[in-house]
Amino acid sequence: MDHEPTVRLRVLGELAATFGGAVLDLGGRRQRAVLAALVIMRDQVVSAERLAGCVWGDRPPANPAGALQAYVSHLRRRLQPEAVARQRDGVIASEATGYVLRLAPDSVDAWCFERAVDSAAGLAPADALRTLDDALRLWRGPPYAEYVGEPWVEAEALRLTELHAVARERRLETRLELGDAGVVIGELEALVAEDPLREERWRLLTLALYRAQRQAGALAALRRARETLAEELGVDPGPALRALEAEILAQSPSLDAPAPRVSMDLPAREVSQAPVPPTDLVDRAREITELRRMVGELANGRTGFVFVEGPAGIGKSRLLVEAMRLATAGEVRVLSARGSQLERSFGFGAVRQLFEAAVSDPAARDTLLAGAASVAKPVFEEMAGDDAVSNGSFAVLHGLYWLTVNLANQRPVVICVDDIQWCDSASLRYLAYLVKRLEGLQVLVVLAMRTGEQHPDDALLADLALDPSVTVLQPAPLSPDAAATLVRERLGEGADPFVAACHRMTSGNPLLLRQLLRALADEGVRPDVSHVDTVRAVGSRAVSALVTLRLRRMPPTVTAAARAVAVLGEAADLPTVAALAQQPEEEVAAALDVLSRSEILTVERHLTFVHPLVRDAIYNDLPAGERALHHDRAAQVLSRQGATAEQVAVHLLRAPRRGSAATVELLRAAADTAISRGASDAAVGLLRRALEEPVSGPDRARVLVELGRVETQVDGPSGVAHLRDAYDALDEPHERALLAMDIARTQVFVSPPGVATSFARAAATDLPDRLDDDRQGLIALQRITGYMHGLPADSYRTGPAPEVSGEGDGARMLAATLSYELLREGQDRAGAVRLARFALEGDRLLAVDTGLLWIVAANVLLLADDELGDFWDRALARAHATGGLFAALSVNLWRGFAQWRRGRLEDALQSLTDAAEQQRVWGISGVTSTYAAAFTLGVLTDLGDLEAAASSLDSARGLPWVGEGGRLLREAAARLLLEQGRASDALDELTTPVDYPQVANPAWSPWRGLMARALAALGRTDEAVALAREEVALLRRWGAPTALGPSLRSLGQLRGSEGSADLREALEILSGTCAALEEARAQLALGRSAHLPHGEAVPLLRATLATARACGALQVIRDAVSALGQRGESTAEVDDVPARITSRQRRVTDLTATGMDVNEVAQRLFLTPGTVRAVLESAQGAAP
Amino acid sequence: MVPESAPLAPSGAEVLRGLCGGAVHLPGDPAYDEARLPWNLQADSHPAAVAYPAFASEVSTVLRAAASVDLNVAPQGTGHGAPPLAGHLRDAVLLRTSAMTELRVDATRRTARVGAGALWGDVVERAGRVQLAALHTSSPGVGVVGSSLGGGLSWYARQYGLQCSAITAVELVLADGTFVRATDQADSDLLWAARGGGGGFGVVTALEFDLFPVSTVYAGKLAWDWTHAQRVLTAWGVWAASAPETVTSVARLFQAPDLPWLPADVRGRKLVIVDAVVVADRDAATRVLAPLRALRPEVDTFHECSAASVADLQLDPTAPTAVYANSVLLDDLPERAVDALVATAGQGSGSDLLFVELRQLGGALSRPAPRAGALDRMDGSVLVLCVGLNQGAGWAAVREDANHVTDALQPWATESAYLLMADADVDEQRGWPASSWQRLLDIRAAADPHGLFLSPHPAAKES
Repeated sequence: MDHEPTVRLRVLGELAATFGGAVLDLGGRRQRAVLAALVIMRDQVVSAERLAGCVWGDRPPANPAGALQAYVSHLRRRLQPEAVARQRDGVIASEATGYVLRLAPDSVDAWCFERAVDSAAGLAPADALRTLDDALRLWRGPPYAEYVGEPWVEAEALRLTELHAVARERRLETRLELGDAGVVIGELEALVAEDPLREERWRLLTLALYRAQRQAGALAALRRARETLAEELGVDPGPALRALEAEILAQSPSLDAPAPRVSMDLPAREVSQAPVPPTDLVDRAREITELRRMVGELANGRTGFVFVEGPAGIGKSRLLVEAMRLATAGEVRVLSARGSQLERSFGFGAVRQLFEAAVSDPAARDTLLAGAASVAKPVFEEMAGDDAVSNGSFAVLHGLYWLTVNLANQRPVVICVDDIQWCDSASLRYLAYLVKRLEGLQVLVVLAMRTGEQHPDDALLADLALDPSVTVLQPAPLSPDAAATLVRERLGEGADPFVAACHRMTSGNPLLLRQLLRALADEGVRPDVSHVDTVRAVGSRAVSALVTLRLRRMPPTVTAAARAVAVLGEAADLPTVAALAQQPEEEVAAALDVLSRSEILTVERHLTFVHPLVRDAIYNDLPAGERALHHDRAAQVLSRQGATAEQVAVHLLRAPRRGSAATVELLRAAADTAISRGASDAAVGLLRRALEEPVSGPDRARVLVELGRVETQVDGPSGVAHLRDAYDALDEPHERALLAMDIARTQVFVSPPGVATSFARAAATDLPDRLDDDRQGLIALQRITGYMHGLPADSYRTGPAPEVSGEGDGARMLAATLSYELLREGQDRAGAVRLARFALEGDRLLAVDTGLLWIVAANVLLLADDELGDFWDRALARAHATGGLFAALSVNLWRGFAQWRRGRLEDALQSLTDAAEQQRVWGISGVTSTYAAAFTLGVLTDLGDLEAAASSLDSARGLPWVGEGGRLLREAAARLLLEQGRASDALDELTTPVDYPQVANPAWSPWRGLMARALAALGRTDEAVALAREEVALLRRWGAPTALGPSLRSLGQLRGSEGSADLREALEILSGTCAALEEARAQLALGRSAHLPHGEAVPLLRATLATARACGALQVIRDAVSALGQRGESTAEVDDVPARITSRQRRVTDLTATGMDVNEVAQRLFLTPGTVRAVLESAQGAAP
Repeated sequence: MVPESAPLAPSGAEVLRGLCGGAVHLPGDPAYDEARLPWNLQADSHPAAVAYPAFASEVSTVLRAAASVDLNVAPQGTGHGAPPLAGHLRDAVLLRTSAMTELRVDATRRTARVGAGALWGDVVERAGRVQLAALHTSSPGVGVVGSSLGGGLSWYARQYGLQCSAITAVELVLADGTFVRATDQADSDLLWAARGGGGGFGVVTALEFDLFPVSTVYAGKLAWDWTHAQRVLTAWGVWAASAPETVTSVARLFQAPDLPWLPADVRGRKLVIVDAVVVADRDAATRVLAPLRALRPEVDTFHECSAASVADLQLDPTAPTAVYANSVLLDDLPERAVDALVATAGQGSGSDLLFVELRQLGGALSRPAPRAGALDRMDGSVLVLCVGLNQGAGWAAVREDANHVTDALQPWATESAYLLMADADVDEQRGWPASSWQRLLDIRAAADPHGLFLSPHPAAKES
């Protein structure tokens, strides 16, 4: 590399000169002719006379010598702008007889060109190709273009033009040597058309056609050559063409290519439109058959899910490419994406890769993102605007699901995601959400995962891999035969020991084998016995070392470009790579070309490496410090180019920390975007980095709040810690109070018992008097958390009895808490209802609370038999609209509980199943899972599916049975054990000492009734009746019919013949309530009484049957049928009665009746089209 | 065979694991047994580690790591010359240079630059494309560096001298891990040592040497049944002494085994063969060869051919093989010497040697080369090389067969030895003129003061 600026002259094209990169003004045409003439003569002295001839031809001026001198002097000044006058004879020296040019051999493009073409002759094909490409890039047009036709230029121009023609031929000849026969045919045809009299071009064309297995084409080319030569020149082809013809006819082996290889350097557009079949896809017949079958079935409306797994380099990506190729050939839309370590911090990065092409057209975008899909819009917006309503995941997932449905409704879709182990969590959730809802969609999902590594999202990945519908493909290492095939394709027929060494050294790993063969091909290694040791030597290296070995043998520009691409990741395009590598674009373009020919890069949608391992190798080859600086520079370059905050942030995450306020701002903006996309984990990473920048002052508190709030969704303990830091840093009391409430709400779920309570109390004490509403809110949290954590009552019910005052949010929070306390005491139902109604009034709590206190208030109303109306629908709609994940989960959970209590068992089960899926997909565990397990257990028991209930109980044993959820589980378990006839176990379950919070109100903790049943079954009737009486007495005080009725019925049953009064009262209380199943049970209990007259018993039992069927309560049905049988009654109609109709079925059929189509109904009810179709089909089948 | 006991890794070798991008194999590793095998399978060594560095920097790392745990280092290319090292590798790292495959031919300057892993066959082919020839040894599978450092007898030797004299630059890593590029201008001592000094002064990573403008030659072989050995070899001796320098030839007694790598018309036969390459056109070459053709050979394959094709002229095995070789340099080859040769190696001698060949020296080989080097000429007019395979009787029997021949030729032998073709027991000092020997020892001591490198002839090292 020259450090001194030097003069460079260009004569290939228009004459031009640069000095240190700047273009020089060379003056007028005549003055420039002087320079041109000197260049032509290179280092020979050119006489003044000859120069005059060049400049003026045969009409020289009066004093040519003087004029020449003036030209030369001007030229000297221009060519050496930095030299003083005396030194200016450096470039153009004066000699006695004339002038001579004194320039280094690399100063003139024509000289470089000539030297490069010469030197290429002695190089290995890969080197020769590089050299020739470099040389040809110097060619910018006809030499000495402006003097074309002048006699003094003609000879030199002809010579250079001939050299150019030869270089182009040699270049193609070299590519033929490298095995690119198929690819160069087009270029050769063009060359022939340009100059059909150059026999060498015909020879190369013929050879290329022959090697591309187009023997007929080859002979036809020879015929054309013969005709052309005869017509134009009247001569026969020369000896070279004649010999070639003879060899072709004899199919001489000497014509075979020395080392054919697969060409990777097709133009980008062609690749993305129609992926070329990877010809080195060997040994994969089984996998391809499977993929072909599934793609084929897609056209028949059959859905599918394929999971390809295996170690790095085994060929998973190849199979995905094959799947895409098959799909494209079958008119199926292909959506593809690839996870990458760099982009893990991009929220929905993989999802955006999948859909960006589909939604990039504004017209299509509007159609695709309409209706239920519209909530997914923020995912595809570059910058999150203020109007980005959605801040959460649930609604976005649902929207993305609908985007998928809308696409699949146009034509079948294949979704291919490679390297899902590196996908961002948000995208993985989308995939998990999708594969559970594939039924009935024309969608084939093909995912590939690298095995043998730890991943942050193991649970989600396992969920995908273990999906019951999945087809798993595990490509095996290549066989020795396959290795021989690959060796033959790359290097020619290999000697057996050579092939065996290739196979052994790579253990049949296709990537390693391909890279090994590329390395060997680069070096021109022949696959013979004497090179076995070369195979061992090169093949001993790991893929990464192989790649760096190859790269180090390439020119520095190429290495720099490769590193830049490795650092930039998805953002890599030519201008950015050039800017980062600090090289001119032309040189970088050439370097990228080399890299793509060398199978290091591949040009798909953007520049990517042929394999992530290759990228890792190059990336990790950069020393750590340099890597960080590269990222720093990448961030600057991308910023300048107007990239989004998110794109820049990817690099800032890895750049050195500098304490820059601008960096903090960028990271916050990127986090904001991520949050608006529902990618909380991505936002957490960005904000944590912002905190480390470091950031100080008020900005620090702001970052802490943002970080803590978003962390509470993914990493509660850190969220609490950061929010506490922010709380300490803030001054404004109201702001602090709101933050304190957030902290306490999170502490309930993540901190040890007592922490939330004492924090809330301290925060309340800190408040100035004027903030009374905030204080009520904090006291509400202090009390509810104390209860939930099972603390002694005197530790959370401190101070004077709180009074609800005013109508603020805090007052409503306090009302909710106090109503719950009244519920638990079980004495003042009216007071509890009043407080709970006040709490829920105007849905204020839905807006400020994540789903703790409004759930509590709703539960109070439920257990008090108060009307909730469409509260759950409103709550769910709000959760969907704001994306409140916890809220959506809570609604599903507690609505399931409400449905269960109303005897709508199928609906309850569906709600609870939805809740369970949400827990799994978001990895939420802990407190909600015990509630969900307890409710599910109860529903299954009531359905009479004791087997499912038992297995549900088994898995619930793995949960921590603590707090209220633990108590609910214990009661549900006891109920199941009773139904199983295991009274003794049930009694044990109920009497094992534990410290669950005590609840006085049997409406919320009916343990006495359960224990009474157990005691009775064990013959301890007196104790049982006493307990049952106690429960009835307590419930009479509470007064909610749906709780008292069952308790009375239970008491009546225990008292046997003396209990009929209790049973009658129970039935009376329950009729007309919404507790249908309990009503059926009361009817059954009474109807079974032996002493009841036949005429009274049979209608009761028939009514039982009808009610129980509507609920789907199998055990009750069985008991009613048997009781009727005992009374000699027929129950034949049991089989004829239409299957029960769930509320879901009813809503589906109702909406369909209004003329909506399947998709519209599904969107309205948050269902999948497949479910809607199934519901309609079963309804039709059930109709008479 | 030189047996070695317990192939257990000294724990110190573990420091090498992971170096060279993973291309280091320790005993017990899956590829260790394959990696330790040299071309010449007669050497069955169990080195402490086998490393395949691809760059000088990796060589440097290996040397420093080996030194840190007191292991020696034995550089090796293809391992054609492996036997002398056998038995000395247990506490050594076998540093194989096969991954350094760089190969560039500069047609304008008529030079080649090769990495230490380059093979002659590749150089010959590449140079041939631009009508140049290298002073390559007879087998295409032989490594360039190993055979160049020790001398290098080519088919053009009588016209252009030893290959080592054609070396213009050498790049190497010294024992302390420093990288040196030695030329006539800088570190010229090391370049001098590289010109025929064998090894022991560093790990050579690349060589640059001259190529010669030879594109077509007249080459081939003449063959007779070995019953004509006496007559043919005597006549060859007379002819060889006065033949022009444009011809270089080899005469040999060949007991061709029935092995697949041999052409069918040779397989299983006992022959006397003369191979030769004449750098001349057909007419001139015909005149040169006339005296030999007058002996009426049964086979005559001489024809005009490309210089590149002579790499395959001699019938050498390409696949790794176990062979034993030893040689003796003769001042001249009178009839009585031919008698002694035929009596010990010819018909009725009972010798089982694969071949005994007589290489024609003289010409440029007998004059000091224009460029100074440790070995700048060959002492003698004929090099007799005995090569044997273990055909069941054991290596001791092969060695004995060879000793019979060399002993019988002692009356005509010179004081010198050609170490590239000598067996393990040869006194290393005989490889060079006395004046060179001391300088060579000094250079080695400077480059490797603590004796890191195993010399190819360690037996002679103490002397």
